[in-house]
Amino acid sequence: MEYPKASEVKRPISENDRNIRRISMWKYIANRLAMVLIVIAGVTLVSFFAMYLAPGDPAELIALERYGQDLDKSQIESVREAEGLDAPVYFQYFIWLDHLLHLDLGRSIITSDDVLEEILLKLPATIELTVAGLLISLLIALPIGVLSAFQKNILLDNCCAFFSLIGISIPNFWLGILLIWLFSLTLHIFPSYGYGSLSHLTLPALTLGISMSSITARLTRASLMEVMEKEYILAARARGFDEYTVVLRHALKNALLPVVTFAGMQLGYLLGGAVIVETIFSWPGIGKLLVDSIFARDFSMVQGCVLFIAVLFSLSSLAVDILYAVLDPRIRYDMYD
Amino acid sequence: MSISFLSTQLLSVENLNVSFKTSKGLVKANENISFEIKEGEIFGLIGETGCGKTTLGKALLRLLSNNARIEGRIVYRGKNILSLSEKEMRSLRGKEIGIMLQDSSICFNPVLSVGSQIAEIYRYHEGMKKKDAEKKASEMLELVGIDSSRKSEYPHQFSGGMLQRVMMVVALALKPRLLIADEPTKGLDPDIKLQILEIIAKLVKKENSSMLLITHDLDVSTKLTDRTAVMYAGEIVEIGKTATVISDPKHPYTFALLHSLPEKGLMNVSGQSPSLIFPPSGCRYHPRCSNQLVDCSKIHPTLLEHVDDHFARCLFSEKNSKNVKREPHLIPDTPSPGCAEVGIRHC
Repeated sequence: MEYPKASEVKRPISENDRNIRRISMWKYIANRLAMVLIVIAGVTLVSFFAMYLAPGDPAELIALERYGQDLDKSQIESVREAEGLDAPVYFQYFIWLDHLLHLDLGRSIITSDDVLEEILLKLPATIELTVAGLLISLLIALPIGVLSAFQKNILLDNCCAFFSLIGISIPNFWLGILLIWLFSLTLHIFPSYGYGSLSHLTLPALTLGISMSSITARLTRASLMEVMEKEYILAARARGFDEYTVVLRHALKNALLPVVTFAGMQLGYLLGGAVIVETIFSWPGIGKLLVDSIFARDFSMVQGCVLFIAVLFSLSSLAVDILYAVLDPRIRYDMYD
Repeated sequence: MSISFLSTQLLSVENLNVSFKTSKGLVKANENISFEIKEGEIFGLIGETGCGKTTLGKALLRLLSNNARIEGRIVYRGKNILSLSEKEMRSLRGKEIGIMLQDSSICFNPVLSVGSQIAEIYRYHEGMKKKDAEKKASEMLELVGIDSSRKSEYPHQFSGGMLQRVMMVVALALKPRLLIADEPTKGLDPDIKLQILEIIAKLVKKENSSMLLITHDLDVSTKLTDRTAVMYAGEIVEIGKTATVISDPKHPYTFALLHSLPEKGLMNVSGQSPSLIFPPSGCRYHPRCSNQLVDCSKIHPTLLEHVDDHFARCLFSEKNSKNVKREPHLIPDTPSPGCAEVGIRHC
């Protein structure tokens, strides 16, 4: 029996089909973006009202800062009036929201610095640390994960598992102190604190990288081992490909899907400031700013930081979602199908 | 005569035993399997689910999991597949022996487009440039009736029947001498089923290749194959020319299978398929057999030639058939050309 060639058969639908598919990626991104906006709206609510749940009267705090220890009631009341704190809470929220939309996060009640300016000033240091930490963790985790998934040598695999377990169990602050002791106090290779050069970056980035890499390595290993059991890996072998092609081309991209999700979550978390590590190494990032503001009861600064961190977190999870769709076509077309 | 017979032999399987070590015990998936496939021949392997057909197909290309133990000989064009190195094995897979694995929906990488999965075969094995390989992939898709503009789409966007056809393209891409097709029509509508089988048969015949068709569908096997082996509980219970096996089955299991076809009365084969860890004593089919003799539960029958080139493993047929050739009934480890002349090469 002869079959007509598919190219000779008219299929008016197919061009249209492809257009819809091309749109679907944008539709997917738009959909995610809408979700992010909803989350951010929620975050503004929480970060605004959380300050009212905290003990203490904001007006009193501000007055304390302005007039010193011996206050009288009229001074507090005048501050309350001047700062608009006497209006109903929901009204204050909308005014705050209005300022927010104009990118005005207010001023620090301690230093009177512009909150947004202050945060943006600290952002580069945080980004620097985040990217370096994430890179180090992936550089350690991916090779170890891939190796231990394929190592027929059980001893080596167990060693990897052992060190991963240690890595998971060691708290950040202890690892940081350990590294300071080894590399600055004993070997005098890297400075123990400060910001500015690559050698300043090394220890905090290592601390972050090492502690994140242990989980990522385990995840890579588990995911890769699972993928290697799939039928399409067998099918790739049946096509006569060598193990190198099978693993790198057919298995790794699939196996990295959960790793990308995890790394993305880490990214969001780190962008919010690796609070402990930044504090240990006096790293002038957002995490340290947040901690300092909390200690100083600088609530407008805390409010601004929390909001900023939440927005960064949402955006980085948006980035992960998009990356996920790029890696896995099934997600991209879900909306269309 | 013996020389001409030997020259046309493509693959011979001799006393193949495949077993898996599991926590419940040793699963004997294939026991003492011997058969051969000639050049240009379509050979059918039929049997119910779980009888070891798929294991046999994968064993031929050494694609079984690590806990499998393979014994015996699989000789492909004079080379024993089981003693080849992994590198030699790779040059065999795809190029000399292609395989269509069962269930095409899970045999494609979900994150690579269908076109690139075909093209990579040409790039890897024939060193084609990316553009040429993609062009070739388009041609191959058109050959099985799929619009080549769909080559940038992903496996999950294709229907089952289309994936089956793509699978065929992948298996036949390098024009292998032998195609192992494992349930190529599983889960397909009857009309598509025939269409796909016709395309496969056409492509195989065009290259004068051989095919091992593994199926539980007797209808399919009847229409396409030259010779058929019937498998039950890890053993071959009957083997012969398809026409004679169908018209005059010597094993009660084959008989029951035939009568389970709609046009033959839709009778079901009673009972359950046996465990491969603890197979029944004596004849493995005896608990389900309607022609049971007293000895059936005690004596494990051997594969005997009933008529020319038609073998069965059954005490009942043995008793009722006058011209069963009793000696010699087991193939020696290395078949001598003499064996071929007496016609005992299958057992």
